[in-house]
Amino acid sequence: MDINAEQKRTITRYLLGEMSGPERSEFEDRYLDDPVLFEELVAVEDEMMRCYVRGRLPEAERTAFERRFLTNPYHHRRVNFARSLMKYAASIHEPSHSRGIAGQGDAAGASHSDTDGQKQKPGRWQRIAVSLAGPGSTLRLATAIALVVLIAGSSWLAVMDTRLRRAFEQMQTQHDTDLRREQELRGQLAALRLRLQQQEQVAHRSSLTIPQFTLTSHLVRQSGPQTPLVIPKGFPQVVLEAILCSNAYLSYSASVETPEGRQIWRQSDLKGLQTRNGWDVIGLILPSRIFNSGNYILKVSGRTAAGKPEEVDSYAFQVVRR
Amino acid sequence: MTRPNKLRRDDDSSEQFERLLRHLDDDRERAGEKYEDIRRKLARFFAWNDCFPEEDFADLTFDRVASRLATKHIHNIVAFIWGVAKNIKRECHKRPQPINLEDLPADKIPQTGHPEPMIIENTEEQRRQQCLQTCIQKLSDSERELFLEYEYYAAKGKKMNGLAARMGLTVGALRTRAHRIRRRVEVCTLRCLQGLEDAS
Repeated sequence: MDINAEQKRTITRYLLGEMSGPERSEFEDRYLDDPVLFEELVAVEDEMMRCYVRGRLPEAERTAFERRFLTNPYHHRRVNFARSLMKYAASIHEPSHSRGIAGQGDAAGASHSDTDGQKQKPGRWQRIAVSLAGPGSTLRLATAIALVVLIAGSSWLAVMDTRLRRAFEQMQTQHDTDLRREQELRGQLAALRLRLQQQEQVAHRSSLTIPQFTLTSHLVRQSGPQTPLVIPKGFPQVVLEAILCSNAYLSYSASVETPEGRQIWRQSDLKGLQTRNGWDVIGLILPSRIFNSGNYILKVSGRTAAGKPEEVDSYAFQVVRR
Repeated sequence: MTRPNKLRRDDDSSEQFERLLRHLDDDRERAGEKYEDIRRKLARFFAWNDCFPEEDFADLTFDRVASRLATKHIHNIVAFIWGVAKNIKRECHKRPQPINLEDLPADKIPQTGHPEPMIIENTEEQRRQQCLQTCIQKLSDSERELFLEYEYYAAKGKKMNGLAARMGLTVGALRTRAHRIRRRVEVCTLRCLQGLEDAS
């Protein structure tokens, strides 16, 4: 009575209530006419309950099972019955299991054999114990114990030997790995030291050479025109620091335009900073080659929390190249 | 053999029950076996269609069939029984099912935040084990051995071939017998939990 996979799927769909009305009705006609199919249906249902109780149902089937069987009190009662029956059957065959069932299984097991006077077949260990009893039992017992000790001792030595070998091999492999790792790290450290020295030299040179210029907007400008940004010959970059009224935006975009409105440079995702004297600014590093002597406008826009861009401010400045 | 509720209650209806059995088979013993077999199938049919208590619906089916047999000649009694069962299923689906609060699954019972549900569940499990033991003791020795061995094998996911051979049965026959016994034990246990069966 092996159930083929297709048949089992059909039965499972029926039991889980996944069939349409007509399909369900047609399937019912089939199993009412076919005793073999009916028994398969019962078998699959019982198996499904056992699998659920043992936590062996696949995820999708488990969810469908719970939706179908645990939301209906009568089905739920049957699931509980399946669980209890499994415990009971286990307690009869594995007495240690019964201790988990508030002692019921033990009682059940005892009464099962005692009250019925039913002859139970002796277990493996019982049979060994019986064979060791009787006439000449002392010698047999001593031989048996010696044999057991010998076998146990040999097994223990063999196991320990294997474990020690494995541990030694693991340690050796680990040692080789550590050595390789140490060499790699030494190499990385030397490379990092060299890079750091180079960066320190570059930073020192940059701090001396990059022209820096602070821009104020017409809103905060106190008086008079700003001094021009002088870019001496041979300086590749200039730093602009634009003072903001407030740092109220998540990020900023800046663009430099000529008075005719031609954009010559643009940068996005700039973060507002606060200087030591409490000013909110954005810092920009621009290539000096984009500038000729003349007037320029720096336009700053901000991105709100809603992601919307808003115009923040504009800064007019004059560049003088020498 | 368990008679349907109505036929069981009413002594005058025993003739109806006898007539039902005669329709099932001329031999009374075979008729009894067929009756039990159909009743078991009816109960499962109603359970799979969410008509509970399924045993009551199975009995209701026999009640109706038996009463019709008095006035009508039925050629194919089994087909007629299933026809009646399908009609009852439709009626069952039309009416709301009464639900006892105690029968609700644990997650549907309003939680109080106290450990009562666990205590209740433990107590219920103890009661179930007592009832189960009582019901299993009511089985014959051979039935009990077959049933418990089968359940143990099934729970462990073991192959049934060895067990079936030991019992002198085919795997199919073993499975059918085990399921029939399981159904009886299940009904007995549920009745015991409801106080309808002696749990002592």
